[in-house]
Order: sequence, then C-alpha cells, then structure tokens
Amino acid sequence: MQFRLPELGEGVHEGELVKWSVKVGETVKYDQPLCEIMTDKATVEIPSAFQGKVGQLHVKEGQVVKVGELMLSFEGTGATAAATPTAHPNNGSSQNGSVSHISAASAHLASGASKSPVTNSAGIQAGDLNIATRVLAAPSTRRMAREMGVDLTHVKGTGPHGRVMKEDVQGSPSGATAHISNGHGSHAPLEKAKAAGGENRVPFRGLRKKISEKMRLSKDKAAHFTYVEEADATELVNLRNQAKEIGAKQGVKITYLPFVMKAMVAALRQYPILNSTLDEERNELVYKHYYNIGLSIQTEDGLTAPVVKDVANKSIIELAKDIQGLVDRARNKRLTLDDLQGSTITLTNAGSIGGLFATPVINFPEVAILGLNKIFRKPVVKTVNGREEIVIRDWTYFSISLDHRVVDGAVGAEFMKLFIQYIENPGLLVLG
Amino acid sequence: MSNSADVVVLGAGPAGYVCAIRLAQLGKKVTVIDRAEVGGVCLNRGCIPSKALIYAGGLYEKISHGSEIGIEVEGAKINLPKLMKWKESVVQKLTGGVASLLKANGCQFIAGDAKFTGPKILEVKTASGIQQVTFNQIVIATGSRPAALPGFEVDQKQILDSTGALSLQKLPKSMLCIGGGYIGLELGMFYAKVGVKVTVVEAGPGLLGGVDPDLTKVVAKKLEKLGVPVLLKTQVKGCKKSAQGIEVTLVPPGGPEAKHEFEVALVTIGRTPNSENLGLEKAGLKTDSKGFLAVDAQRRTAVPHVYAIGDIAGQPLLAHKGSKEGIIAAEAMAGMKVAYDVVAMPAVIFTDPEIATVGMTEAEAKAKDLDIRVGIFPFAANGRALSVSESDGFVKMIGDGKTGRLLGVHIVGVEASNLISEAALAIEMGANVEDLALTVHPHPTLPETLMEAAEATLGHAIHIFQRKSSTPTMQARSTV
Repeated sequence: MQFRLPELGEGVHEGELVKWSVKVGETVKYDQPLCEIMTDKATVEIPSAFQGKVGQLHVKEGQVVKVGELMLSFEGTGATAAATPTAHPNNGSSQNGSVSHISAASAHLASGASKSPVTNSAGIQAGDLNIATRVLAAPSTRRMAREMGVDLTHVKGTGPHGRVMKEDVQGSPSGATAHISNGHGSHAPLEKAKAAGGENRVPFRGLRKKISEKMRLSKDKAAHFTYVEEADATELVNLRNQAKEIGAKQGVKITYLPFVMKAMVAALRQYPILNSTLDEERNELVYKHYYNIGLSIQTEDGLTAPVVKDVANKSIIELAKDIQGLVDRARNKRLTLDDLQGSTITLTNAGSIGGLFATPVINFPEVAILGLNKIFRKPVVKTVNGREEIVIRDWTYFSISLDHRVVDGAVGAEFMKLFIQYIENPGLLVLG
Repeated sequence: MSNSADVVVLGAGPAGYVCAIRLAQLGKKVTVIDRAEVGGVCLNRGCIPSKALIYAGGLYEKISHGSEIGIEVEGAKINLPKLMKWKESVVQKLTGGVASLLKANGCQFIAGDAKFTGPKILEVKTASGIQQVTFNQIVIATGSRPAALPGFEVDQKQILDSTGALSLQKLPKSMLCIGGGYIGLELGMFYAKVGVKVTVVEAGPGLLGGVDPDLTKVVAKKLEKLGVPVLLKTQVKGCKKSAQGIEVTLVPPGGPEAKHEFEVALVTIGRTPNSENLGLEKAGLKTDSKGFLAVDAQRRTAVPHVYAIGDIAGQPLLAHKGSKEGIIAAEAMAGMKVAYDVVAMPAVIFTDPEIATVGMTEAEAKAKDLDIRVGIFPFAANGRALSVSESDGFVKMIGDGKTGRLLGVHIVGVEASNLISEAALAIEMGANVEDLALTVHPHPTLPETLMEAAEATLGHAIHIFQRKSSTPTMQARSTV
C-alpha cells in the first residue's frame, strides 16, 4: 500500500515536508497525522488514509513534494528493509530521482520543524545521560554542538539510524553546497574555531522563509505609504469594558479587535477602493463586496495572518469568537488552509507590546493594512460647555499603510477620518 | 611570603594534575598544592602499586603451577622486600614523570597543607613556613582516604588499611580482609596467591556490591580455589590485639558470635572524601552529609569561582573519572562551553579473573523498563583465552531490543580491563550491538569475545550454539 500526497487545496500543487510524524516500523491508525506539509498558505497536517505498519518513508524532511508524489509505503508492498530509507531514494516515484540530491542538501540544513536549535548559552548542561535515549552523536559532535550552542535534540541527523553528524550541526550553506556538488558521503571541512563569543548558523526555512518571500514581494510590488491619525478611544474603552463582562458570561473574550473591524467595514463601505486588489495582468481593479479581514498573529514560529470571514454580517460576539478560535489555532499550529485564505484587507495589532505606532507592510496583493496601536491615558484639551478644560482621555494612534498605485493619499486620509469617527463614537456602529 | 595565581589546583592526584596541565595548556598561571607528593593516592598508594603487586602475584602463581603446561620450576619463592622495592621504583618513575610534566607546563608546585582563610585566599603550611596564596579561581581535588572502622584503629602493623597493605615487608601467616569490595578482594587475592591464609568477611549479602552478580560468581569460584573463605552477611565486632596477632569477633548471620585469630587484619570498607580541615566554610562552601561537594555539569560548586573534581566531587570514586572532570573543569574555567556528559564510565577491578564493566547493568536496564536482549560469550570458546590458559569468565552484552543500541558490556575474564575500552567507545558513539558484530576483530585475540557476544545478542554467535527459540533475539536490522 502506498501513500501519495493528496490534494491540499485549490491552486496548491506542492508543499515542503516539514516533519514526519511517524517512523518506519510504527503502526499507524486511520486518520492519524502522518506528516506536516507547508504550502504557500499554511502548514497542514496530513492524516493517514490507511492503517498499517510504515515500511518506508520516501521523502525527507525539508524536501518539496508535489501533489500525487509517493511519500510513504506501508509494509507488505515489497519495501526493502534498508537501514535508512534514504539509501534507496529512487524506489517508485519518478520525482524522487530528480530531487534526491536537493533533499540531501537541505537535510543538512534541517533542524527539526521550524524550531530554532539555538539555546541559551548560559548554564551549560550535560543533556540526556540515558544511554538508551540520548541523541545518536559521537563525543566530538556533542562537543562541537555545545560550543556552538546547538541543542542536539533539535538537530535532524542524516547519518545511519538518524545519527547526528558534525555537518548536521554545522548546517552551513557552504557545507550543503559541497554536498550538492559531490552528491554524498564526503565530510565538509571542519569549521575553524571561532573567536570568543562565536557565531552560529541557523537554517532559514519554513515559515521564516515564507515570511521573507511575502514581505519582499509586497515591498517590491506595492508603492507603500503610511498615514497616521490619532483618536480619542474613551468611548470605545467604555463600550468594550461593558461588552467584556457580557462576553465573559458567555465564555467569550472580547477584545478591541471586533469593534475596530466593524469600524473598518463601516468606513470601507464609503471608500471601497481600500478593499480592492489590482489585477496587473488584465489591468483591472477588483473591488470586493465582502469584507474578510486578515489578522496578524505572532506565533513561536513567526508571523501568520489568518482571516476573519464576512465581518460585515457578524455580531461583535461572533467576531470575538472567531478571533479567539483563530488565535488558538495559530498558537497550536492547527490553522487550516481555509483559515488563511481570502482576506481582502488586514489588521495588525502592534499595541500589545508598546510603541507609538507602526508602519505596517501590506499583505500583498491587498492594498491596505491598518495598524491598531496601544491605547493609553493622556491629558487633552477638550471644550466642555464652551470652556476649554484639560481632561484625561483614553488615547491612541491608528496607522494605515496603503498601496499608492491604487489609493491616493487624500483618499486614505478621508477613509481614516471616517474610520476614526466610528472609533470615537462607537455607538454609530449600530447604524451600520 | 605570598604568592598569587590565576588558578590554584588543590591536590595533585589524577584529577588535580590533569586539570593543572590542561589549565596551563589553555594559558593559565597555575599553582598546584598538595600535602604530600604529586600523583595522589592513585600513583602512590592505590592503582599503580597495587597493580604491580597483583602482576607479581599472578606471575608467581603461574610459575608455581607451570607444570601443567610443561614448565617445571622448583623453589620459586617470594622475596617481599625486593618485590616492594621494585613496586616502589614503578611508582617513582610515574610520579617523577608527572612532576616533570607539571614543571614543563609551567605549573608551580607547593608541598604543604592548605586551608581557606577567605574565598580567594589560602594559607599553606609548608616545611619552610606558612605562606598565603591568592587566586581568582580554585579547583578542589583533595581526593579521599580509606574509611575508618571504629574498633579497628589502623596501626599499619596488625591492623592495616590499603596503604599499609601495599608496603608490608614481611608476609603474615594469615590475614582477615574486612570488606568484600574491590580493594579488599584485589589485595586479598594477591596475598592469598603469595601464600597468606586469607579470609574475607563482608557485611552485605554479596561480594563487589553494584557489580552484576553473574560476574562476581566467577571471582568467588577463584577465591574458593585459592582456599579463601568468604563470610557473607557477617559483622565484625571488635578485636583484641596480642603479640601473636589479633583476635577478631565475628557475628555470622543468625549465628552466635565467635572469636577468630589472624596475624593481621586489612580494613577496606570504603573511602571517605578529604573535605575536613580545608576551611571550606571560609570560601562559602558546604559539603553534603557524606563529605562530598555538590557540583554542576561543569564541575563548578555553589561558589562560582570554586570547582571540585575527583573523589571529593562524588561517586564513582575512580581515577579516570577524576581526570575527565579535571579536563572539563579546566576548559570551563578557560571559558569553553563544555559539560561532563559521560554516559560510558568504565570500571575495572583487578581481581582474578579481572572484571570490567561499562554502561547499564542488566538490572539497571530492566529497572528502566527497557526491552533488552542479553548475549553471553564465554572465554572458554575463545582461542586466544585457551592458548594462554585463561578460560574462566565471559562477556555479557546488553542491547536495546527496540532500537538495537548497545546499552552495556560486562566482562569477567582474562584482560577484562584491557577489553572494556572498545565497549566504552562504542557506547559513547551510540553504536548498535550490530556495529560490534559487523566490525572485523582480528584472530586469534581476546577482543573477538566482544564481537561474538554481540553476535550472541543478535542470536547468531558463531562459536557457541544458540537455539533459535531460546530467547527473543534482536532484529538484525533494527532502526531507531
């Protein structure tokens, strides 16, 4: 029985194998996660469509796999009992022959999923001292890893039985190149001892690599400009505090985000160009009549932007529930492809850490990204009964980055004026 | 007079002197202080002199029984003062070598009793007076000494400890070895071979506590052959000295106590760390209830500029463990990112036959709930062992049935001490049992027994017959 990479979603033809969740010889149940595949959109768990004993893994972690490519054989298919599956990469799939060298190279860069192998250099530890369980590595390799601050439990070993080799620890691009050029087997030259303090090299791959590509694309394509306006958030704070109590009774955590999203939609209705994309091939502007707001969420592995769908037709409580679900799934690495698709504009919240305001990078091909910043108490001059007084208000700044190819400065400013009117008078949102 | 150093190494035994040399190699200004001579217990009053005597005892036994293989010698006898002199010359060569190595590496040596008078200052009492030594960092490597047994005050005449037993000038007629640990058995067997009527008394249920009992049995059999009675679960309850010897009261299990006469008694009931009278409290240090100093993975104590290595840093009390710690501590002091991560600490016992072990014992592996495979290969099936007339004993190998990994090797037999390092390397390298089986071992040699034991663990040794279904065998090609 053979397992091939199934369809992952519309327009998705390939993905990078981040991690095998099963081992050769392991008995797998139906629907048990087999591996994690990272596509352009998300990292997804691929469940098993069979049950049986895993005979051979045909793909290495770090390798790019095409839909339909042979990934795993269950026992009883004539899979030979090679000491390591990589010894026979040409078994079955026509793809394997062409990519095996690349996979060998990237395996040398590999370091487990996307966790960094870097550990705190303070308090150097002996590590696992159980003969039966400790990572397979020679004493000299362990010494080098310790010098480099690399935790061997996070390094993917490419030697026999998963042995961690010195090259795996080094994980240097130069080492990997050498392996591409001569195929296999040779040892990369030992790194010369580095000066005190040293440096280490961490593989740049997985989500980090994807973020890098997306950010570069956005900055290359969109003509960014950022506009910042301040807002009196006192009413919003009051309203949210009341809503918070009601939400708590229903077990829903209500943050500022649902209100901000509602205000965005109300203003977008007046300035629909901010909810559009530019189809460069056909030279057409595509106006979206639905409002799906991407939400930037920082995870252990990096930034991700799952999507709150159909904001216009959802209540504050419903939005709060959606947001809570997305945040939980993002943190637990359980986001689905569907969670990550279809945003028309993005909201980023820089306020939880601090700072005055951020100049966010557009989630291309969208044309606008709105930044919510910290809300703080501030003395301001306010006219009360015709007299100017200094009063304490809840204050904040909103920043918006726009693609000037599509949205002019004046339009963006007008949008912000209207948006902030809703923020300062959130009661108006019920009119929407 | 005062003196300042980057690092003081307190104690010049196998932990201290190794540490000092590595420190010097790493550019530190090192002062080594020892109350006696360089080399510590190991070189002067332990490993080295005892091995010289044990070698002589073995040779004497072979010569005396050479007629079996056609060598007939009459009148072979032991000249103990001469033997001791030769032993002393061996010690001198080694300690002289260590002293010159320290000197060549630029380490200053002070002979004297040192104690802390502050966190970074020692007061050293030398033959020429008292001097102060200041330092930035210090390594405590003061070692251990034979543990005392109340009622048996050592006089090195009638009541000996290991030190005294290594320099007797006249063979006693009889000797009681109190304590059936490795020191008592090594020395007891030597004296039995050179004609002393030796008795071993041990309070515990077995000899050589901690060693796989299967191995101990082989040594017990040899003791029996040498005519050495072994009294287990027997307490000693004081003694009375007389001109002829000592009368020791023994309490056998359940039985009434009885008095026995011996010319001398040898007390080897363990070792005590040398942590008293060092003024450790002045440095902010405290020992545990047994006198050991607690250390981290780099052998740093609770006080950051103070390191401890060797016996004073805790079990196992082995010279090579101390040396390893000396290197780790020296490198840590020089700012290198090192840690003591040894999993394969070999232990060797120079009984007859020798015992050598490394890694997990069968009992330890079972206690960890590991699914183990055990392979045994006897020396009686090894050509080399037979041709040197040493066929007692076996190699016992323990592998992880799930992963194939080598977990432990336990050897009792000829040259076990020289066979164990291959196993230590294999375990540190994370080798599988199969790796030992697949490695060609030259014929005819004793290490073939390791290869065969590995094959036996896998279920298919060549030179012994293994029934197919007798034990579950390890998969020949198991993957991790």
